Amino acid sequence: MSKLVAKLARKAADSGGAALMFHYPGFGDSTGRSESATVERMVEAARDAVVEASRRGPTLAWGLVGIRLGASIAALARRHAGVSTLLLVQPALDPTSYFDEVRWMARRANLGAEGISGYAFGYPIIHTVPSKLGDAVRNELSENPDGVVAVCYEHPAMNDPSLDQVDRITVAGRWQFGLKSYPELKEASVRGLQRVMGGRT
Amino acid sequence: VTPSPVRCSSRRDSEQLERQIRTFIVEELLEEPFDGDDPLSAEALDSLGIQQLICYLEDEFEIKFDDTELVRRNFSSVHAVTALVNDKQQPARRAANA
Repeated sequence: MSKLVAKLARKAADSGGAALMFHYPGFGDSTGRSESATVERMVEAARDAVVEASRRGPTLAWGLVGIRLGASIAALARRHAGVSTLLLVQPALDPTSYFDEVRWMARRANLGAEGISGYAFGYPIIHTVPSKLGDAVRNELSENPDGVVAVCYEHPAMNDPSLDQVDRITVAGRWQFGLKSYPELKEASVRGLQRVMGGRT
Repeated sequence: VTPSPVRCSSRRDSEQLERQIRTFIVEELLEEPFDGDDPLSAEALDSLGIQQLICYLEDEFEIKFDDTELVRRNFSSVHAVTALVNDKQQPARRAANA
Protein backbone atom coordinates (compact mmCIF):
# COMPACT_ATOMS: atom_id res chain seq x y z
CA MET A 1 0.00 0.00 0.00
CA SER A 2 2.94 2.35 0.57
CA LYS A 3 3.52 2.18 -3.20
CA LEU A 4 0.01 3.51 -3.74
CA VAL A 5 0.61 6.35 -1.28
CA ALA A 6 3.80 7.29 -3.12
CA LYS A 7 2.07 7.09 -6.49
CA LEU A 8 -0.71 9.43 -5.37
CA ALA A 9 1.81 11.83 -3.87
CA ARG A 10 3.79 11.95 -7.12
CA LYS A 11 0.59 12.39 -9.11
CA ALA A 12 -0.44 15.34 -6.95
CA ALA A 13 2.99 16.93 -7.38
CA ASP A 14 3.07 16.28 -11.15
CA SER A 15 -0.19 18.15 -11.52
CA GLY A 16 1.08 21.30 -9.86
CA GLY A 17 -0.02 20.46 -6.36
CA ALA A 18 1.99 18.99 -3.53
CA ALA A 19 1.79 16.14 -1.07
CA LEU A 20 3.11 15.53 2.40
CA MET A 21 3.48 11.91 3.49
CA PHE A 22 3.90 10.98 7.13
CA HIS A 23 4.04 7.98 9.44
CA TYR A 24 1.88 7.92 12.55
CA PRO A 25 3.70 8.16 15.89
CA GLY A 26 5.13 4.75 16.73
CA PHE A 27 4.82 3.55 13.13
CA GLY A 28 7.43 3.34 10.38
CA ASP A 29 10.08 6.04 10.62
CA SER A 30 8.22 8.20 13.12
CA THR A 31 9.34 8.49 16.69
CA GLY A 32 7.16 7.36 19.57
CA ARG A 33 6.38 4.01 21.09
CA SER A 34 4.04 1.81 19.14
CA GLU A 35 2.73 0.38 22.42
CA SER A 36 1.29 3.77 23.32
CA ALA A 37 -0.31 4.39 19.92
CA THR A 38 -4.00 5.22 19.97
CA VAL A 39 -6.49 6.14 17.29
CA GLU A 40 -6.91 9.54 18.95
CA ARG A 41 -3.17 10.13 18.68
CA MET A 42 -3.29 9.15 15.03
CA VAL A 43 -6.05 11.69 14.43
CA GLU A 44 -3.92 14.34 16.15
CA ALA A 45 -0.98 13.37 13.95
CA ALA A 46 -3.09 13.80 10.81
CA ARG A 47 -4.12 17.25 12.00
CA ASP A 48 -0.49 18.11 12.79
CA ALA A 49 0.49 16.95 9.30
CA VAL A 50 -2.04 19.33 7.75
CA VAL A 51 -0.73 22.18 9.92
CA GLU A 52 2.81 21.44 8.72
CA ALA A 53 1.69 21.04 5.10
CA SER A 54 -0.13 24.39 5.28
CA ARG A 55 2.98 26.03 6.69
CA ARG A 56 5.05 24.71 3.78
CA GLY A 57 2.42 25.40 1.13
CA PRO A 58 0.25 28.22 2.49
CA THR A 59 -1.39 29.00 -0.84
CA LEU A 60 -2.48 25.41 -1.53
CA ALA A 61 -5.85 23.92 -0.59
CA TRP A 62 -4.92 20.82 1.36
CA GLY A 63 -6.97 17.65 1.72
CA LEU A 64 -6.47 14.29 3.39
CA VAL A 65 -5.93 10.94 1.69
CA GLY A 66 -6.37 7.75 3.70
CA ILE A 67 -6.12 4.08 2.83
CA ARG A 68 -8.00 1.46 4.90
CA LEU A 69 -7.70 2.52 8.55
CA GLY A 70 -6.11 5.76 7.36
CA ALA A 71 -9.44 6.61 5.74
CA SER A 72 -11.15 6.53 9.14
CA ILE A 73 -8.38 8.63 10.60
CA ALA A 74 -8.76 11.13 7.76
CA ALA A 75 -12.52 11.35 8.29
CA LEU A 76 -12.10 11.94 12.02
CA ALA A 77 -9.34 14.51 11.49
CA ARG A 78 -11.05 16.50 8.77
CA ARG A 79 -12.84 19.04 10.96
CA HIS A 80 -9.94 19.53 13.36
CA ALA A 81 -7.56 19.91 10.45
CA GLY A 82 -9.80 22.39 8.69
CA VAL A 83 -9.77 20.61 5.33
CA SER A 84 -12.79 20.04 3.15
CA THR A 85 -11.67 17.29 0.79
CA LEU A 86 -11.04 13.62 1.55
CA LEU A 87 -9.91 10.75 -0.65
CA LEU A 88 -10.75 7.45 1.06
CA VAL A 89 -9.26 4.33 -0.51
CA GLN A 90 -10.94 1.04 0.43
CA PRO A 91 -11.88 2.60 3.75
CA ALA A 92 -12.03 0.53 6.92
CA LEU A 93 -14.76 2.53 8.58
CA ASP A 94 -14.82 0.68 11.87
CA PRO A 95 -11.38 0.71 13.52
CA THR A 96 -12.39 -1.94 16.06
CA SER A 97 -13.44 -4.41 13.37
CA TYR A 98 -10.36 -3.53 11.35
CA PHE A 99 -7.95 -4.44 14.15
CA ASP A 100 -9.98 -7.57 15.00
CA GLU A 101 -9.71 -8.68 11.38
CA VAL A 102 -5.98 -7.97 11.18
CA ARG A 103 -5.36 -9.88 14.41
CA TRP A 104 -7.39 -12.84 13.13
CA MET A 105 -5.52 -12.93 9.81
CA ALA A 106 -2.16 -12.63 11.54
CA ARG A 107 -3.00 -15.51 13.87
CA ARG A 108 -3.78 -17.70 10.86
CA ALA A 109 -0.72 -16.57 8.90
CA ASN A 110 1.56 -17.32 11.85
CA LEU A 111 0.76 -21.02 11.30
CA GLY A 112 0.56 -21.86 14.96
CA ALA A 113 3.67 -19.93 15.95
CA GLU A 114 3.49 -17.36 18.71
CA GLY A 115 3.56 -13.93 17.08
CA ILE A 116 5.21 -10.88 18.56
CA SER A 117 2.83 -9.45 21.12
CA GLY A 118 1.25 -6.18 20.01
CA TYR A 119 2.23 -6.63 16.36
CA ALA A 120 0.64 -8.16 13.30
CA PHE A 121 2.44 -8.54 9.98
CA GLY A 122 5.22 -6.40 11.41
CA TYR A 123 2.95 -3.47 12.25
CA PRO A 124 1.79 -2.30 15.68
CA ILE A 125 -1.74 -3.26 16.66
CA ILE A 126 -3.81 -0.88 18.73
CA HIS A 127 -5.68 -2.89 21.36
CA THR A 128 -7.77 -0.21 22.96
CA VAL A 129 -10.09 1.35 20.42
CA PRO A 130 -13.14 3.28 21.66
CA SER A 131 -16.20 1.21 20.76
CA LYS A 132 -18.12 4.17 19.32
CA LEU A 133 -15.36 5.22 16.96
CA GLY A 134 -16.90 3.45 13.98
CA ASP A 135 -20.14 5.33 14.58
CA ALA A 136 -18.24 8.62 14.74
CA VAL A 137 -16.58 7.91 11.39
CA ARG A 138 -19.85 6.92 9.75
CA ASN A 139 -21.68 9.94 11.16
CA GLU A 140 -18.99 12.26 9.90
CA LEU A 141 -19.28 10.87 6.38
CA SER A 142 -23.08 10.71 6.40
CA GLU A 143 -23.46 14.26 7.69
CA ASN A 144 -20.69 15.80 5.58
CA PRO A 145 -20.46 13.88 2.31
CA ASP A 146 -19.47 16.91 0.22
CA GLY A 147 -15.86 16.91 -0.88
CA VAL A 148 -15.42 13.22 -0.13
CA VAL A 149 -14.41 10.69 -2.78
CA ALA A 150 -14.29 7.01 -1.83
CA VAL A 151 -12.61 4.34 -3.93
CA CYS A 152 -13.95 0.87 -3.08
CA TYR A 153 -13.97 -2.62 -4.49
CA GLU A 154 -17.41 -3.70 -5.60
CA HIS A 155 -17.65 -6.69 -3.25
CA PRO A 156 -20.82 -6.01 -1.22
CA ALA A 157 -19.22 -6.71 2.15
CA MET A 158 -16.83 -3.86 1.54
CA ASN A 159 -19.42 -1.27 0.65
CA ASP A 160 -20.69 0.49 3.73
CA PRO A 161 -24.07 2.30 3.61
CA SER A 162 -22.51 5.36 5.20
CA LEU A 163 -20.66 5.88 1.93
CA ASP A 164 -23.87 5.96 -0.09
CA GLN A 165 -23.95 9.74 -0.15
CA VAL A 166 -20.32 10.32 -1.00
CA ASP A 167 -18.86 10.39 -4.49
CA ARG A 168 -17.75 6.82 -5.04
CA ILE A 169 -15.55 5.09 -7.58
CA THR A 170 -16.14 1.35 -7.71
CA VAL A 171 -13.34 -1.06 -8.57
CA ALA A 172 -14.07 -4.49 -10.05
CA GLY A 173 -13.03 -7.44 -7.92
CA ARG A 174 -12.55 -7.95 -4.23
CA TRP A 175 -10.20 -6.48 -1.68
CA GLN A 176 -7.62 -8.82 -0.19
CA PHE A 177 -5.38 -7.83 2.66
CA GLY A 178 -1.70 -7.59 1.74
CA LEU A 179 -2.05 -7.65 -2.03
CA LYS A 180 1.24 -7.16 -3.86
CA SER A 181 -0.40 -5.99 -7.06
CA TYR A 182 -3.62 -4.02 -7.34
CA PRO A 183 -3.50 -2.11 -10.65
CA GLU A 184 -7.26 -1.46 -10.79
CA LEU A 185 -7.30 0.09 -7.34
CA LYS A 186 -4.29 2.24 -8.21
CA GLU A 187 -5.89 3.49 -11.39
CA ALA A 188 -9.18 4.24 -9.65
CA SER A 189 -7.37 6.00 -6.80
CA VAL A 190 -5.63 8.29 -9.29
CA ARG A 191 -9.04 9.10 -10.75
CA GLY A 192 -10.26 9.81 -7.23
CA LEU A 193 -7.34 12.12 -6.65
CA GLN A 194 -8.22 13.88 -9.88
CA ARG A 195 -11.72 14.48 -8.57
CA VAL A 196 -10.69 15.84 -5.19
CA MET A 197 -8.13 18.08 -6.88
CA GLY A 198 -10.82 19.46 -9.16
CA GLY A 199 -9.67 17.72 -12.33
CA ARG A 200 -6.12 19.04 -12.24
CA THR A 201 -4.27 15.73 -12.59
CA VAL B 1 -9.49 -16.71 -19.48
CA THR B 2 -9.04 -17.92 -15.92
CA PRO B 3 -8.28 -21.64 -15.79
CA SER B 4 -10.61 -23.76 -13.69
CA PRO B 5 -9.27 -24.88 -10.35
CA VAL B 6 -7.88 -28.39 -10.39
CA ARG B 7 -9.88 -31.03 -8.53
CA CYS B 8 -7.59 -34.02 -8.11
CA SER B 9 -8.65 -37.54 -8.79
CA SER B 10 -5.34 -38.97 -9.92
CA ARG B 11 -1.64 -38.57 -9.32
CA ARG B 12 -1.38 -36.58 -12.55
CA ASP B 13 -4.05 -34.17 -11.35
CA SER B 14 -2.23 -33.82 -8.07
CA GLU B 15 0.98 -32.91 -9.89
CA GLN B 16 -0.95 -30.35 -11.91
CA LEU B 17 -2.39 -28.89 -8.69
CA GLU B 18 1.09 -28.72 -7.19
CA ARG B 19 2.32 -26.84 -10.26
CA GLN B 20 -0.62 -24.44 -10.07
CA ILE B 21 0.09 -23.62 -6.42
CA ARG B 22 3.82 -23.23 -7.02
CA THR B 23 3.17 -20.94 -10.00
CA PHE B 24 0.86 -18.76 -7.92
CA ILE B 25 3.45 -18.42 -5.15
CA VAL B 26 6.32 -17.67 -7.50
CA GLU B 27 4.47 -15.35 -9.85
CA GLU B 28 2.05 -13.58 -7.54
CA LEU B 29 3.57 -13.56 -4.06
CA LEU B 30 7.32 -13.29 -4.40
CA GLU B 31 8.87 -9.88 -4.92
CA GLU B 32 11.95 -11.30 -6.65
CA PRO B 33 12.52 -14.12 -9.17
CA PHE B 34 12.82 -17.54 -7.56
CA ASP B 35 14.79 -20.32 -9.24
CA GLY B 36 14.85 -22.85 -6.41
CA ASP B 37 12.75 -25.99 -6.16
CA ASP B 38 10.27 -25.09 -3.48
CA PRO B 39 9.53 -21.52 -2.32
CA LEU B 40 7.87 -22.77 0.87
CA SER B 41 10.65 -25.06 2.05
CA ALA B 42 13.02 -22.20 1.22
CA GLU B 43 10.88 -20.00 3.53
CA ALA B 44 10.59 -17.40 0.80
CA LEU B 45 7.22 -16.13 2.05
CA ASP B 46 6.72 -13.77 4.98
CA SER B 47 3.51 -13.74 7.02
CA LEU B 48 1.79 -11.45 4.52
CA GLY B 49 2.65 -13.91 1.77
CA ILE B 50 1.30 -16.82 3.81
CA GLN B 51 -1.89 -14.82 4.41
CA GLN B 52 -2.24 -14.28 0.66
CA LEU B 53 -1.61 -17.95 -0.02
CA ILE B 54 -4.30 -19.00 2.48
CA CYS B 55 -6.81 -16.60 0.85
CA TYR B 56 -5.92 -17.86 -2.61
CA LEU B 57 -6.31 -21.52 -1.66
CA GLU B 58 -9.66 -20.93 0.04
CA ASP B 59 -11.03 -18.87 -2.85
CA GLU B 60 -9.60 -20.87 -5.72
CA PHE B 61 -10.48 -24.32 -4.42
CA GLU B 62 -13.61 -23.35 -2.49
CA ILE B 63 -12.35 -24.77 0.77
CA LYS B 64 -12.17 -23.38 4.29
CA PHE B 65 -9.28 -24.11 6.60
CA ASP B 66 -9.75 -24.73 10.30
CA ASP B 67 -7.25 -22.98 12.52
CA THR B 68 -5.94 -26.42 13.52
CA GLU B 69 -4.94 -27.04 9.90
CA LEU B 70 -3.04 -23.79 9.61
CA VAL B 71 0.19 -25.07 11.10
CA ARG B 72 3.78 -24.93 9.88
CA ARG B 73 3.84 -28.64 9.02
CA ASN B 74 1.07 -28.22 6.41
CA PHE B 75 2.85 -25.25 4.81
CA SER B 76 6.40 -26.57 4.96
CA SER B 77 6.49 -27.30 1.22
CA VAL B 78 4.32 -26.92 -1.87
CA HIS B 79 3.86 -30.68 -1.77
CA ALA B 80 2.51 -30.48 1.80
CA VAL B 81 0.09 -27.68 0.84
CA THR B 82 -1.07 -29.72 -2.17
CA ALA B 83 -1.74 -32.68 0.11
CA LEU B 84 -3.73 -30.46 2.45
CA VAL B 85 -5.82 -29.04 -0.40
CA ASN B 86 -6.38 -32.57 -1.71
CA ASP B 87 -7.61 -33.68 1.70
CA LYS B 88 -9.94 -30.69 1.95
CA GLN B 89 -11.35 -31.41 -1.50
CA GLN B 90 -12.14 -35.06 -0.77
CA PRO B 91 -15.59 -34.49 0.79
CA ALA B 92 -16.66 -32.21 -2.05
CA ARG B 93 -15.46 -34.72 -4.61
CA ARG B 94 -17.31 -37.57 -2.92
CA ALA B 95 -20.48 -35.48 -2.86
CA ALA B 96 -20.09 -34.65 -6.56
CA ASN B 97 -19.65 -38.29 -7.45
CA ALA B 98 -22.59 -39.51 -5.35
